[in-house]
Amino acid sequence: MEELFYIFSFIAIFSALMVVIMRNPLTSALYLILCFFALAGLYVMLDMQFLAAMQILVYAGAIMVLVVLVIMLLNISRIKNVKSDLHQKIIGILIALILFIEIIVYIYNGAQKNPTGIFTEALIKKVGNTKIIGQFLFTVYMLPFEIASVLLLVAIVGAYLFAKKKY
Amino acid sequence: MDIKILITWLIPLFPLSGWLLWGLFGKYFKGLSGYIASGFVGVSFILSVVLFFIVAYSHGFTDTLYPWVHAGIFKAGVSAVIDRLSVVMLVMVTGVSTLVHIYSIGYMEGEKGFSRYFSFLNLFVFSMIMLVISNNLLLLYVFWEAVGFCSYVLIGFWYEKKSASDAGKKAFIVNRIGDFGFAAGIFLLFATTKTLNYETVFTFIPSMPVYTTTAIALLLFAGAVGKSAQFPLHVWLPDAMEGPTPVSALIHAATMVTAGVYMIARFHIIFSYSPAASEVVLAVGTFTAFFAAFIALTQFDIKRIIAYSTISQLGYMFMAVGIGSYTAGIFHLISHAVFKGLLFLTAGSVMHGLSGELDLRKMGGLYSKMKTTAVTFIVGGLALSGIPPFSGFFSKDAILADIYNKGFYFAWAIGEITALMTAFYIFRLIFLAFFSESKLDPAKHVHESSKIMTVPMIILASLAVIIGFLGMPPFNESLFYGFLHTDFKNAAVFAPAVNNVPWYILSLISVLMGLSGIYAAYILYIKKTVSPEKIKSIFKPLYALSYNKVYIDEIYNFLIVKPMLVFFDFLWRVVDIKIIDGAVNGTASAFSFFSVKARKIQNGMLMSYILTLSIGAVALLFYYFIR
Amino acid sequence: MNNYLTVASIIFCIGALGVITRKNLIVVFMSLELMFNAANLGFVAASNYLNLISGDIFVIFIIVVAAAEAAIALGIAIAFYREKGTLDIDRANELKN
Repeated sequence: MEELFYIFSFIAIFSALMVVIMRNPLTSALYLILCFFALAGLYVMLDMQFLAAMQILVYAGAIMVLVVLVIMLLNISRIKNVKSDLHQKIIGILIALILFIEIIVYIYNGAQKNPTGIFTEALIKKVGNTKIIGQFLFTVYMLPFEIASVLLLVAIVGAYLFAKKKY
Repeated sequence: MDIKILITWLIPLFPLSGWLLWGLFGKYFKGLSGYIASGFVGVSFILSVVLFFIVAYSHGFTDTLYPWVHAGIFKAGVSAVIDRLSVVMLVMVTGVSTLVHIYSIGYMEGEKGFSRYFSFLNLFVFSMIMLVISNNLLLLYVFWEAVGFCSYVLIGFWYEKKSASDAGKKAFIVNRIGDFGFAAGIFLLFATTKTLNYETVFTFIPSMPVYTTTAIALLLFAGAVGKSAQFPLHVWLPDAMEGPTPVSALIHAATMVTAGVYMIARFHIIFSYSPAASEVVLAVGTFTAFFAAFIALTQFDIKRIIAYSTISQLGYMFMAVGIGSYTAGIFHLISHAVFKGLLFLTAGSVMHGLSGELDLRKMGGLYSKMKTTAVTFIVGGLALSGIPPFSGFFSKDAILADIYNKGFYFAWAIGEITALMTAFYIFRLIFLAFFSESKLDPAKHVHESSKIMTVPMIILASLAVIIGFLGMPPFNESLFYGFLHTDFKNAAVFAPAVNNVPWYILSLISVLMGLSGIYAAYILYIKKTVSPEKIKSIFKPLYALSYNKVYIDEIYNFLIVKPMLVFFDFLWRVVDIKIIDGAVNGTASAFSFFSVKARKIQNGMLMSYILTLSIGAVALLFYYFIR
Repeated sequence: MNNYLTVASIIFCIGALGVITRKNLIVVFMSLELMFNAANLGFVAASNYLNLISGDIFVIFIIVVAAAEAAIALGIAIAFYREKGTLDIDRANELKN
């Protein structure tokens, strides 16, 4: 299992880096899909098969298809990227580095919290993660769920408005 | 609710509703508002009379309508004290008010602010009634200020006229000085007794140290000095004559200015337990009586003469309460309200007939043209001069006799001299206005006033004749004394009678004084055996002093107003403009300076926004880290 | 657990780097998606470690929001491209003044 974790992590980090580094947006998009798959693998290792499926369906499936479609539509892969600002890149790397150090310090120096919940690995395996999530989503989290559906509706209308030829 | 309590609260209710009615819907009533307002006050008067008889045949009572302020130990309710003193005042206030209201219908006819006038007149009557019946010092103070406000509004009734609005402001500001002392007195009283209710306060007074009582009494007296226009705060009353004449009759002769006397009579326990304060009251009253009469000798504006006469007569009342003769003071208050109200109304009638003329030098020979006015005026003048059987004789002599018998000979002498001067100036006015040869503009059409104005004058004139008999001598056995003195039985006797000179001897002296004053006026202005000009040249400095009102206004102007103006100019130019405005403008310009700099940050570049955002996130994490 | 969080933070920082340095609107958008996913991973890992379910539910909502955001962002990208003829975000400077 350990090996699997390292493989997936490596793929995820590598493809994430590629997303940022690659000049061609289309290449970036494809690496991003790879990254999502790797993350889905990590979810499976965390006993969240449902989430992994969601990840692949929604992210890799829906969103990334949309992105690729837009890239194709605008046909910008051939458009030469404008002058890259070295100055800004250095600052960006610096900031990302500091951010990373800070987060790592937090993770390893933060107060350790002991498991408190009842959803142990055994229980999830016994009941099935989809069932548990479904139960919670349609009972306790009913209201956020409904709000999320309204949000999606709003997003549809908004996207239509933005993409309209004249606004 | 008990019927007498119902009556008690109905009395102020009518004028109050009148005020609201004319104030809010005055324009729909037009001329009617005067009649209805008079009717309202008339109803109050009838109720007051009923209450008077209830109290006369039973006994006084107190009642709280509702608890108004209730915070910790501080309690003040809207409560009334109905005893003999307050019913006497109530009958006087509502009675004179009714007559003045009726008179005003004629006087103010066709005036632009007819409804406004009656609304404030009703408000004044309401405030005065509440002032009289209030049972705690806070309520008293509120309505003490309210009558001052009404006075301010009504003096400045013709606010387009600069002198009128200035006079209103002057009255308000001068009153404020006195009221400052009054408020301080109330604070001191509350600080020492922890209550403002009359009865409770009075139980504390006898056991209080004398200097505390004196301080309280003097501070309260400061309020009375302002409200009742005593020296040195008398300056507002002559200027207040800029207002409509019925207002002068009601507020500045009969009711509001006597509030100070009423207040001292109401707090007789405080004043009688402090002989020093009472002596101050006596001294101020005596001086003012003489001083105002002295100024009135040479004035030419008829309303101002009567105004100074009011100040002088108020001085008499303060003399009375200053020696502990509260009954005599209140009696003079009542009779003065009647005859001085009468004098003002008749003066208003003269003014009305001459279309606003006030200068004595431009009158004369009016007797034949306006008989009713002249006769009623003479009745008022005789009452003021203290000629029997008019009311002024009984009331003034009751005071002077008390002063003599209690051993204040100097004050008595001043009082007698003042009586002489009083008779002189009022008959100088009568002779010059009604009898000497006419100096009127012939083109002017002089007419007698309408019935609605003369009837109240006649009523007041007949009252001025008969009301004095309530105080039929010997003074300490009269009807009025017998009725009222039970209210003052708790007062400390600090000035016992030392003589027992019979009343007729003292009265004879007073009457002689009055008659000689009238005779002097007769010689000077009718027979002209001695020319007034000659007298004027003999006593030139004195004449100038009197004619210029002892330069009090000029002295105040020099001593107080000018330095204040300089000081406020300093405040304005340096403190306000430089420091306060500087600070405010400095802050504003500092902000605009920094915002011009800060605007540069907003360069519109998305990248730099993102950069700033991430730097902020990093810094925030760092902050939590080092915390 | 810490391993997962470390991976998540690495991906997050890479995403941040992309957002800061890249100038192509679509790549910036994809970098944002990377940051979302890093957060998701952190949620799932923590939820697994603490034996809770709420983290997972949260992730579902994040995915929903991300989908909505994707629709809007790509709409904006199309509109932007139509307006400017490019996807360079340095051209997006209408906010100035």
